[in-house]
This record gives sequence, structure tokens and C-alpha cells, in this order.
Amino acid sequence: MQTELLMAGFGGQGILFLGDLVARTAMAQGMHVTYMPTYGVAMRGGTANCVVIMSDEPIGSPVMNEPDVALILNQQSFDKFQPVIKKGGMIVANSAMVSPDTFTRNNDLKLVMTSATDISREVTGREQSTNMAALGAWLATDDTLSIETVEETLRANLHPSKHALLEPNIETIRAGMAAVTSAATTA
Amino acid sequence: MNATATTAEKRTGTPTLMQGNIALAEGAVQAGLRCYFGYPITPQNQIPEYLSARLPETGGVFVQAESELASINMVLGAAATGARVMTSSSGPGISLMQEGISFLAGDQLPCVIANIMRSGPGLGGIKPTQGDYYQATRGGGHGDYHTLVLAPANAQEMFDLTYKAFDLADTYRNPVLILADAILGQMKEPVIPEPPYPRLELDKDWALTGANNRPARNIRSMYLEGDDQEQHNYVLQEKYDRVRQEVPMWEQMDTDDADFVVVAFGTSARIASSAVRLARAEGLRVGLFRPITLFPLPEEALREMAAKVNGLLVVEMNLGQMVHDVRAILGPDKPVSFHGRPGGGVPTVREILEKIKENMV
Repeated sequence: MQTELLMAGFGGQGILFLGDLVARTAMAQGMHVTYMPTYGVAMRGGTANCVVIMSDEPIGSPVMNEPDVALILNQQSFDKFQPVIKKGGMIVANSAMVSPDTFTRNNDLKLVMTSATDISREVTGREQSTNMAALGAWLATDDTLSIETVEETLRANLHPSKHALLEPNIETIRAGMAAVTSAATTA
Repeated sequence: MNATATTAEKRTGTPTLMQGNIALAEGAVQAGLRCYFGYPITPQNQIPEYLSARLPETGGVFVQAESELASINMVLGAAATGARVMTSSSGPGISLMQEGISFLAGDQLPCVIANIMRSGPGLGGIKPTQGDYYQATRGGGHGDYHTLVLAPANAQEMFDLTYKAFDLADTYRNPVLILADAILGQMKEPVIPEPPYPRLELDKDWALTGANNRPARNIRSMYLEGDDQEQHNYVLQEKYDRVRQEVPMWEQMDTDDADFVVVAFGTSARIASSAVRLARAEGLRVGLFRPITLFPLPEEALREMAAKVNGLLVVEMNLGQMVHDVRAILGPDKPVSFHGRPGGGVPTVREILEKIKENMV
């Protein structure tokens, strides 16, 4: 079983941090993993993306092929990557920046809209944890990674200078999960 | 000699998620690196950035030189004292170093040089490529010489092969090149950053350590008397012959019962391995042969493997360099096809699978 996860958004939205966290969590769960960051000319305000491949077998190509899942935080990335997601796959999109009207693959992809930016603002008072809310939305729909290992990994790897952000980030992940779970219940 | 490929899962210890460039730099530190000289260039900048903090912790010396020309000549000076030294750069920077690398080879000085390839020619771009294969395996500078060339294909090998490169450099008194690319440099994978074996400690009875009541030593590449220069070249060639016998490393995957085999190194081999798996899932008997040393190429192993297959496909991130060596090794009777993408293009798994099917008949 191999999962190819694409994460994409604006530079500054914490895409590479998110990918690093996912990769470390998968490694902590004993999986094979590769993390490939955006490669090219990048700047703040430009787009950033990374691909993490998680597998119970050794991984061949570490390069983006056909992502099974995409966590997408802005419209440009949504437009760019929607066509390349594997049939039967899923996109988790940030509703603050992505319009569901632009979703054209109703037939073969699942779309989970999450108000990641709003969740981040509500929980932490800032938008910086949008990436964590989106991660929560994915964790709620997929059992590749466990929330417990994500938390442990975040605790073990967050830079000491950012420790004040540890609990707010964990709360945001849990709120991101809860939002999806409650939406599913009401539907 | 077949040193099997090293990935984190084949080693014991605790893995940590490491970027390839950092794994390479830490591999050098664990190998006893004393001096690093370099000049910045993407996509290898994490190597000097990391070493600028890490080397002083170990009592080593880190110098950001004013140019690549200065870097490689500082490497030459430090190597002459017997210290374990290295530099790193990419495409254009490595080109600038070629005069110094030729001198290092002529002087028989050990050092490690990492080339994290970017797409050329010229200034090119910062995307991955394997366009420097010829430069790396032909020596690169003037004169009849070779550098040993190691081609890692994962982050653990970035660590392990760099660690090994210092032993090889000391053993053969020759520069050793690590040839990787932007993908291997930027990607993160689990790495066990511990020495796989104790490092080689040789008595360097040629090093310039201060004569102190012993006869003076002399390191040079210029011989003007009689046929001394010719004899010096025979000494070098005899060394390369030993290298060809003793150093080849490679990895084989699914080749035992294969009708058709893909030959690729580094990142190309990683992508090709996914294509081979897909081909196998479709019932096609396809294997992968991955040279880990590019000089020397594992000629005997390649011939032995190829004798049992109907055809081969060489995949490279260039428009055909290693393929000519493979054809020369296997001779005109063995069908060897080629697929490559140049200048920052990266072959896709599907593309390689199609080429396998096209050429397998």
C-alpha cells in the first residue's frame, strides 16, 4: 500500500513544514517515506508545494507521479493540481481561498471543503495554522496516519523557539478533524 | 566486488528524516572531514551551510572561499598535508574547478568533491540533471586521468557513499567525486547517520607534514627529466586498473529471470525501479541494473547480467552519455536502446514503462 500526498498553497502558508511533519509521522509509524519539496524558483507569495510518499514497501520514484490525495490551500494550486490527482482520489481544499465552483472532477474525485483558515483563526487567533487545520481534515478521512503519532512527532520536532505554538497547533489539528467529522454526521 | 545498496532499512540504528545534502555533509563529518572549502551555488547550498556550523564543533575548518578556483586549490593545499578534505559545488562551479582537479589527480592527492548536478550547459537552471556524466567519468580536466565517481540514489547512500569516498580517496590517493542531482540533494528520507564500519586510518607517508629531521617530501605533477612524465602516467594508469578491479559497485533488482533490463543510475534508477515494478505487475520479466560506481563502471557484472537478457534500455537525465559506455561494454550484438530527458527534464514512470514495452519485443 502506497500513498502519495501532495500539499500545495502560497509560499508562507507552511506547506513545507506540513510535508515535513507528515513525513516524520509516517517514519515514526515505521513506514517507508520520501519527502520532495517544491523545486524551482520560489518566493514568498508565490506557490509552494511538496510531495510525501508513504509506503509499506521501499519507494521507487520520489518524484510526484499521480497523487492519491492533495491538501490544497489556495486557488492557484487547486487549478494547477486538480487535473493530476489520481482517479478515485481526494482533494482537501481550504474554503477560504478555493471556490468549490471550480471543481471539475465531480465524477472521479472526492472533494472535502474545509474552512481551514477560519478554524485556524478561531483556535489560535491567527491564520498561520491553516496548514494544521487542513492536515486535521485529512486525518479525519483517512487512517494512514494516527493523530496520536502526529502529536508526538510535532512535540518531538518543533523548534524550541516555536514551543509556544505547540499546543495551539495540536488544538487546530483536532479542530480540523472535528469539523470534517461533524459535517459528515450532519450530512 | 558487489557492495549491496544501502538504504536506511538495511542498516541497524535509529533513522532520522534527513535531506540528501545534509546526509552527504554529515557522512563527510563522520568520515573525519577536517577541512571544507567551497563557494555557494544552488542546489548544493545546504552542504556548506550545514558544515559551516557543524565542522567547527568537531575542531574542523570551514572556509567560504572567494571562488571555486580558490576552493579547489585550497583543497589541494590541505590535501597535501594528509588531512581529509572536501569541496562541493554544482555544474558551472565544478567546471571552474577542473584545472585544480587535474592537478590533484596528477599530484595523487586524496580528496572528495561533491557535484550536485544542475541542468546545463552554461549557467543552465537549478533543476536536476545527469548531464555531467561525461565530465565526471572522463576526468574533466586536461591530461590522462580519472576521478573515482560514486552515484548515490537515496539519502542513506548520500551519507554512506560520502563516508566511503574518503576511504577510497586515501586508498588510491585520488580525488573521488560524488555525483548526485537536485532531487537527491533536496529530497528528505530516513537516514541512519552512523558510520557503517570504522574508517580507514592509513599512514600517509607522502604527506607534507614538516620535514623535521626526515628527508624532505615533494608532491608534484610536473616531470621534465627524460621520460619521467611518461612513467608517471603509467603509475596513474596502473592505479586506475586496480580501481577497475577492486572498486565496482552496483545493485540489481529482479534481474535473475529477466528478459529485459533497464540500466540507470541515481535518480533515474529510482524512477526506473517504479517502472520495473509496474512492468512486473503486468507480467513482463523486466529487471533493473544500477551502477553505483560510474568510474569504474561495473563492466564484468554488466556483461554477466546482459548475457542472460534479450535487450536493455538505458535511462538517463541527459540525451545519451552512459548509454555509449554500456554499448561499448556489451558490444554491437546486444540491443541497447535509450530514453533520456535533458536540461532539467525528469523522465516519468509511465514514460519509462512505455519505452520498456516498445523495446522489449
